[in-house]
Amino acid sequence: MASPRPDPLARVDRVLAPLTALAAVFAIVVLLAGPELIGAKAPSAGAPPRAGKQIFTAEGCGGCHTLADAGASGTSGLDLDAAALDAATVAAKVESGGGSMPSFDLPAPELDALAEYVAEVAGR
Amino acid sequence: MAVRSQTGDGNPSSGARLLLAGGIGAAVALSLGIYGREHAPATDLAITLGFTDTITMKVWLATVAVLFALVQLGSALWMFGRLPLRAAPGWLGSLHRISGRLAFLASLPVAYHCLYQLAFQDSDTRVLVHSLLGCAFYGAFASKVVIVRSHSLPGAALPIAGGLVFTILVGVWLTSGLWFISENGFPSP
Repeated sequence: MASPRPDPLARVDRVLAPLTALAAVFAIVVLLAGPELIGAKAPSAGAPPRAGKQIFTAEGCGGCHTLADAGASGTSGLDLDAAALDAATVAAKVESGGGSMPSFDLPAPELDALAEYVAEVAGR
Repeated sequence: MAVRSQTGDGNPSSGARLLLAGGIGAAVALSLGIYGREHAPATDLAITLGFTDTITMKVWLATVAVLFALVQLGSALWMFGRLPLRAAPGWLGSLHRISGRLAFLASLPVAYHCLYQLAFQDSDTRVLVHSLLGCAFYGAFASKVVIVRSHSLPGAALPIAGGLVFTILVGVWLTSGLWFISENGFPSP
């Protein structure tokens, strides 16, 4: 009687199983320990308010938006180089989100600083 | 559905095992929700993993996760004899497990960014439903893992758990990936 053919996928599964468990554990560790483990910086409590440009970069706005002044080239959000916006509009959008943009919970001074910065350099 | 009350070998009854699986899932989902609610979301976390930007990475990986989940669904239906096909080949079980692991792995960077950068949000119905389903997905996934590893459970437990995981994942994707694609088109990687 012929022996059953080996299942090559079973070998892949044996390798993948511990990797999956490790990835889950790693995700939990990074959630609890902070993103420094993967090269990002967490916010520091009690730190002085950041400047608008710094906030734009730090909050990852450039991941979705293009803004030459900040060296940002994201393409899935509004192209801020091509949009003229006032600070109140920017602040409202950042605070409440809407459309495809999530909301961001920033301290009031930082929200103002970010809104003023974007309003100043957008649409240039 | 009949639930056996006691195995007679000192092991917990199948009802208790089901309760344990559900409890673990609920604990996982609740923990993620509480974390997302209490965690200060502001940080400079931008994960791209080689994609153009973070949102593109999230749309692609979430879509890939759903595609692997479809493989899970199809292979499960085949294994349970619910497809008009010949008997399931021996490798189908491995394919089923691999597709599930890959779907889970693809979901992790997306969920991590959602939880750490954006946290639990309820700014509108879609966002609230997405936040709730995102937490529920990992809870249902944890329950399914417990059920898979438990023996002597009612036969319907596993397909119900698997179906729940699949349904929730699709719900997560509908309220995020598909919604984004319908608003902006499919982002180029």
